[in-house]
Amino acid sequence: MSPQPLGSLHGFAVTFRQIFRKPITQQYPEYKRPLYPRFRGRHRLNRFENGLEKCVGCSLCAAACPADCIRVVAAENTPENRVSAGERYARIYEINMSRCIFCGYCEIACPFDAITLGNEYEISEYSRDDLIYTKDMLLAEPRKRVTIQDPELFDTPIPYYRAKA
Amino acid sequence: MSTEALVDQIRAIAEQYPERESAIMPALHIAQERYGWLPPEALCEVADALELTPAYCKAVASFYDMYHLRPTGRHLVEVCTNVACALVGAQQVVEAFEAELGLRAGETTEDGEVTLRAVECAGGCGYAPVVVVDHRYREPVRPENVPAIVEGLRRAP
Amino acid sequence: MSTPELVTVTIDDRAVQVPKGTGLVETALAAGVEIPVFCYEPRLGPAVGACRMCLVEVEGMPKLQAGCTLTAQDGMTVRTAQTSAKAADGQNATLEFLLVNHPLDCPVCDKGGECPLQDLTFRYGPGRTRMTFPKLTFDKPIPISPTIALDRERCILCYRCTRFSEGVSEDGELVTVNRGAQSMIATFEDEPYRGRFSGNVIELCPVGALTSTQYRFLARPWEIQNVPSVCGLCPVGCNIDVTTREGKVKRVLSRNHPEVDEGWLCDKGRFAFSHPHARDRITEPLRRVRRRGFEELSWDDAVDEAERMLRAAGTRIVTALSGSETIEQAYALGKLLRQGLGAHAAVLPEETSTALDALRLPLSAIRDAELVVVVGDQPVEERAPVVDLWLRAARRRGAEIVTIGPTGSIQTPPGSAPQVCRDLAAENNELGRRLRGGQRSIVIWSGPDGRGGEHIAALAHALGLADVAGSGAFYLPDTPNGRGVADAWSAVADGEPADPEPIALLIVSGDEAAANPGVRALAERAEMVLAITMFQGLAVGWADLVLPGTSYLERDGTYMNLEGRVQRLRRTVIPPAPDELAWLAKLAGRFGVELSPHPSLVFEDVSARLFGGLAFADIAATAALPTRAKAAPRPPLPEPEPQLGGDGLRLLRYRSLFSGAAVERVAELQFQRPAREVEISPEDAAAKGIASGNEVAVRHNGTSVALRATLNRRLAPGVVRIADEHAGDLGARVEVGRA
Repeated sequence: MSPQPLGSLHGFAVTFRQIFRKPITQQYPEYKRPLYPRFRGRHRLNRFENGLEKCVGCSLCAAACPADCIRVVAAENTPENRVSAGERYARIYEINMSRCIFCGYCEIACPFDAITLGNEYEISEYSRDDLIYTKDMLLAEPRKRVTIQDPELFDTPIPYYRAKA
Repeated sequence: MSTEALVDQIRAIAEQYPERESAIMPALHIAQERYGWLPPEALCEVADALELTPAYCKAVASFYDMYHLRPTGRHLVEVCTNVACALVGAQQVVEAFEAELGLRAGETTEDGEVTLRAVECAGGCGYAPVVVVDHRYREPVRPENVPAIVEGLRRAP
Repeated sequence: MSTPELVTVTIDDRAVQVPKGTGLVETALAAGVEIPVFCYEPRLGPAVGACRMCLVEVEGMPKLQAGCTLTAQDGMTVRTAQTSAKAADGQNATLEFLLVNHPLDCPVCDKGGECPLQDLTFRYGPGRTRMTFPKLTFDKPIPISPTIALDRERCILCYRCTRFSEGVSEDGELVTVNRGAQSMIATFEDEPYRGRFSGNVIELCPVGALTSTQYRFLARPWEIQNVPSVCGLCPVGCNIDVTTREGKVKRVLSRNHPEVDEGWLCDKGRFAFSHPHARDRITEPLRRVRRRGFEELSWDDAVDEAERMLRAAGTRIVTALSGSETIEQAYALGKLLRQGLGAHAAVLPEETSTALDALRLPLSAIRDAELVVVVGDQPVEERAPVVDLWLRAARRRGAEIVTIGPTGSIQTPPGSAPQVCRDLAAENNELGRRLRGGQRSIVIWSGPDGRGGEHIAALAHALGLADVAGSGAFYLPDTPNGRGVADAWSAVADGEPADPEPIALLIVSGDEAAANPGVRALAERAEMVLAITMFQGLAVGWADLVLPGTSYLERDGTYMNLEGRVQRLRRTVIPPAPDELAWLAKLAGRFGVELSPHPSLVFEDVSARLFGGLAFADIAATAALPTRAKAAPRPPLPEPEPQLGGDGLRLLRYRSLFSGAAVERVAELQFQRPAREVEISPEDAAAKGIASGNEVAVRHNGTSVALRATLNRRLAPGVVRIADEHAGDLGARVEVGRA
């Protein structure tokens, strides 16, 4: 017998009480909790409405990246092969998702709003090689969709640069 | 005038200057008299005569308004658009010429008769706006005088 | 020289003492204050004050002054933007004006991240634009040459590039055309900028207006590594920074060594860096198989094969060195062959005369000279381009430059340079007398057949130049490291070379050695040939075993330049094959020779014998010049060789700067290669009825070469000049006639 029998019973009582409560377990992946609207997930590269890529391959995202997971190799647009709006485009754009810490600095650094962090988070793979996302993958529409909570529900602070203006 | 004669004439002028380079402006004038304007060959000949580079000759020739790097028409109309003339409406004079001749400043009429140019100060600020027609000054010129000038040019032999 | 008068200047309340006449920008720097500049560059000559970035407030002057055009005067009180609101306002306004039509396409621009306009705008400029009108736009990029692109929109008209063209390289090809807002940097018509130093304008440009086409959009400043190294394409040994990204060389920048290159670099050194990626680069060892050509073999097999060849040949080996090896490689090769096998026979690039050591000067001494005499058949700019810039700098400073040769200011026939040296040394020669009496007289040998500088050294000693601190002599050798290679080879062992007959094995090291006709003759006599080469070139045709070579960009080691300065080469990228030292060390082990595969250890060995124990780590980034040797007893002037007689015109062959294995493999440099033409003096042309541009046939002993004639006023009558690569097998005397 333990020196404090009442203490033990106390503990058992906590456990016993839970039997009558509704469990909070969520049946992932059958049930997916809606995300916070500004959740930072897998990146996407954007295009203009006319189909040209917004990215000019300036590598500022790579410079800003604290995990050093972005690699950009630029090339020159030609009349026959026009990829982006300016003189220069990203011939290779790779993000190593196994290193990415989803801080969003690349999005802040980008002068053309070419890269944005999406909401996808289900990006695990069986091989590390598969975690290197190429430009084609980043430009494509995301395969998996996730539900996002209504932004109105959240008290979104006004960004400082808008507050000043 | 042959190329050799041109080169000799330029060299003779260059003798009068302490530095060969200083003879560039009279040399370009001589070459322009020969060709009517300054084609690349003329610049090369001047460069050859003064032992400069053709690029240097082009730099000088393109700086000044009195050298023509494109062929001009039979008649040349130059409208001063520098400060004094601009203040009393040189731009309107240019536009009047443009309308009358059916071209833009810097162009030549299709029949090769008249070239219109907007130039820097012609040195007639006291009687602005100045228009130089075939190297003769007309001053002051108002937009309403323009049709008569153009008519005169068309009829001139 | 007297010590200059010191003056006291107050800059931002800090008093500083500088010599009178010091530029205000430097004076401020001495006080620890920055005056920002765009157009100011002391190396380009007098300041022009074109950009107005350097505005400062000077006490007693009502308006803001362009600081770069002022010099330090006693009692001057200057306020920069740090302490003067007026100056700060002026600079802010200057930048606003500069940016009015600037496209601000920094994310696209190659200069972005290393751009003075970006940096200074960030520190001194307005944070936002008030410009509501559309900006001026132009077509872009405009090619200035196949290697340089111009973006007119970004140009701020600082005139650095045109001042370089006019006042440093003195080619006068890059100018400003038009006026005011329409001003643009241009060459004549559509001619490419052909100057030998054109690439320097890219580095001088303080904005992204002049950019390198080779480096276009390849990397950004935060993605690259700059490796300090030395150019290995000519004997000057200009200091360079090699920019690499992801294991590849992307560009070459100059690195200022004030005694060697003053921060200038020729186009060959700047743009030929892509040759290691040529399509015909050899990356695997190759063995000749009867009737089947070549087969690749593994490195282990290749070393076995080389060992077999060496053992079979024994002492009957001749080694042909090209002068582009590092000192360590030459030494290692020498150690293996001379100590391991006793095979002392070698074809050395050129053994440099030790008499030159007593005449040693830094190249910058040329700029300070009073009288420079250049002797020899070939223009300095083709052999050692940066030396030509030093000569031009000397002329601008008032020095007299006398060139004696077939294209010189004193015209002599080709091959007469040894006789010229004897004439100059004679007591009654006027020019010789002036050289002898001068305080800063320099003689330079520029041409082949200099016997490693013996002629010029003997002349300089005869004139007593060794006894005057500012006087000396330079010998411009053929090869980048010929001096170091020859010294290293001879330092290994004392054995007397005996010409082996028959030759069992010829080792050809490097592509330059293969181009030597003497080596070609040896290859025909040799039973076996082992070639160490980078490309599928001449040597591969004769070789039984080919081992891949490396480029100067891929090696660690040392080079000795024409001054006798030992400079450090650094490995900038990993070569596709192991470098020479790695397999030489392995091979040496099999012959019982102790040899390290590490250049630093090999250098220690060499240094103990040659450089008085100088440590590898002590070779500074800007290497020092060894002190002048004690004047040796005056060497006698070598006897000039008898001149060939005969009829016809004398043929002067010259090796153009833009020739050789590296330049041939760089697409962007092809426009600089010498044209298929024969230069002829106006007198000879008139006598033969040839006009400039005519197609002519140059004949010699039954061979004929069809070339285009161009008149060269500077060429001596009786001489025609043809670039080596177009001269074919023509002999010393040729007939020229219209085709």
